[in-house]
Amino acid sequence: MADSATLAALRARIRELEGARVSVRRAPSGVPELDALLGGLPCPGVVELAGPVGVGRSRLAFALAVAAQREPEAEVAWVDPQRRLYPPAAALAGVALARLLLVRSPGEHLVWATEQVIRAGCFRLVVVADPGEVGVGAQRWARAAEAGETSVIVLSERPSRALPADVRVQVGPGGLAVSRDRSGSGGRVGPAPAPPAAVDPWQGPPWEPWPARAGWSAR
Amino acid sequence: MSPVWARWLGVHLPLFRLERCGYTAEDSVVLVEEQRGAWRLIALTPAAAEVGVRLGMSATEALAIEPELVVERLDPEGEAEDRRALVDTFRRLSDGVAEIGPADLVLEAGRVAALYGGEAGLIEAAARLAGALGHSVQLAIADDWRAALAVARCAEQPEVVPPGEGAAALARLPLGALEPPTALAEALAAVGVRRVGELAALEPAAVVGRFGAEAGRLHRVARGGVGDPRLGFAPEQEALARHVVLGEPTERFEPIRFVLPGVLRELAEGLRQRDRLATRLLVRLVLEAGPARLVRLRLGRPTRDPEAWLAALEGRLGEVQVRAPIAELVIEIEEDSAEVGLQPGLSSRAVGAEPVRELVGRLADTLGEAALVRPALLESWQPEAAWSARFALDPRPPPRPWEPPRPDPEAPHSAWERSLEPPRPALLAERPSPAAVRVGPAGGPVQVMQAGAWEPVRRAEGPERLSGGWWREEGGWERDYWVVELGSGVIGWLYSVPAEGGAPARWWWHGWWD
Repeated sequence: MADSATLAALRARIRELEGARVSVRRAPSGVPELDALLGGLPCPGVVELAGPVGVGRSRLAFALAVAAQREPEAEVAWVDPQRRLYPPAAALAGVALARLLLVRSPGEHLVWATEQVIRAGCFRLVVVADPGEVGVGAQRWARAAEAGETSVIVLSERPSRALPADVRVQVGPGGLAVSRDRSGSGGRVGPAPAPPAAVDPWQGPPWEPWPARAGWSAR
Repeated sequence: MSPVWARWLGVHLPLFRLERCGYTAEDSVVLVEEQRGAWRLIALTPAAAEVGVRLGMSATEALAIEPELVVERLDPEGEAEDRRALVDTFRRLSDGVAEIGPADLVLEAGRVAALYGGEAGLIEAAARLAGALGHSVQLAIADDWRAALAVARCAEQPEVVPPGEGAAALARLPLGALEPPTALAEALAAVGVRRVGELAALEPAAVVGRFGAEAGRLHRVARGGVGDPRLGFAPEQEALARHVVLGEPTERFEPIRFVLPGVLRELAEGLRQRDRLATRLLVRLVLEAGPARLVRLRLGRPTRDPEAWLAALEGRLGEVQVRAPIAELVIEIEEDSAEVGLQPGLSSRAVGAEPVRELVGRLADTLGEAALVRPALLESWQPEAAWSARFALDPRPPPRPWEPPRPDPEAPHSAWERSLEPPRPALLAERPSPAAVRVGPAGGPVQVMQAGAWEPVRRAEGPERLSGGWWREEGGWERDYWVVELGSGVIGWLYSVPAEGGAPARWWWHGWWD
């Protein structure tokens, strides 16, 4: 059995390696709040947006997709194993559906299919929505991103240790917090971008009282 | 990947050669052909067999046994013409029809059975077709065409041999059901092999070494495998398939990789002569034992570039695991299309990137077409019906595409009305799930059950009443949607279905403002 001093030295070495700064090329994401926080989107690279369903991760990904599609004919892939993406909302947010490939891969092929999509290099941005427990297979996504020169956004409910993310951003009701950044120290916080009115739940029309069923606000 | 089974319908027409001349099974008739200076029997009816005449006998001998016997001379041209007409007629059932001898046909059944409600339905359709033509028929479906015909020849009733059970179905049959060449049948009989099951029990290497390649094929069939994977169908189809017998059966990819380039170049040349492009390739890996392994490869864009085929096939074949050494290889163009003048790479982002169409085609083989879609908006109030998911390579336009309303200069309120379009959640559940909701005095949600505990609603907006379908027989639908923000910051989309008779409304989770 190794003695405690050896273990302590190994732990220190691991911390050193994990904390090492790595030069990751960044490109403007098109979302000013994210650019201010990260200095741009790693390209190629993997960004994890972690937070519970319903706090705005997908809306942030919509904004990134819209920015990616500003280049003529640029395509975006959205890997959606849970089959929950609602394309009308994406369209309302400005995503060009004609240039959006929706990959509704079943779980048993998810890791492989996602790797193929990333590696193909034909997508400006690949969004992987709630892949669940993907295991070590997800480590191939980072190498595929390098090969395909692609930015990958992974939306997850909680940070995944198996995912070799260059940047990990915690998304919450209060804003964004960088919990890991391979080229920096992390720990930065910032506001979340305001969603476009079309996908902002509180920007709807003023509800008229329905006959015999008055509109109601519990605020 | 699970194996894909090839299936074949064996059609045995025992009296075709006499029925085409207007006779029936009850008539005492023989068909004769001039052989070695004598008219010899090549076909006879059951009534003729009952009186003791046999195939190979001379007409003189037969008439000596039964003076009333009707002797019909073979008309080779007329029979060939009738057989061609028969094949054409059976093409109504399957585009893959091959003649096997004078009284047998084989139809490719795997791809068409679904059109007839399954294999039993296909057999029924074939029986009806033969009956309409006035022919008695025996039918069977199996994994291999020889097995299908062997079972059909011996079956009193139509029989469907389940996939993978060919060996069991054949074991009880006499070896003659497989119609081995006479010399081979005699050689096998000399060592006591008279039933198919007895042949199957022999060691593969011993059979090939002692009796030759044809015996090896029959042995594979006897063991439930595939004897001869590709039949001579129509000449134009035959030109788009290549059959390679490997010098040494192998479980490794390298020997196959060695023969692929030449075979693919030949196929590409066949397509070039027809001005066609391949959209799907089929590779049959014929194994030493067991059923053939089929590998289908959809090509993202139509092409006849053998290098592109090779690159795609290398990826697929390199992953295939087989249970027995590969003895033969058949590559065919399963689907082709006309030249469409695509410009490869036009939509690709970078030089060297795989075009989206090729990627989709490649992934569709594994994931299925439903997993690779382009969303399109539809005009519907019902949230889940407001978009369609169509296969990304589907060339047809989406049904009734939704377009934003055009500004009407005559309608001063149109801009204001458009501003009232409500937002929609980023995520929508495929099936709404029941929600436990406590409502306030005005009918809006104030608490929602989350993970077994009541969570207060921090903010709610609604209701947005959506309804429709009232004109349908099954009745319409009506929902009151609410946007709710829970204490945790999660924003969801709930709806209630108005209840009748004062009963409490039922609530459902439908989406999330993620």
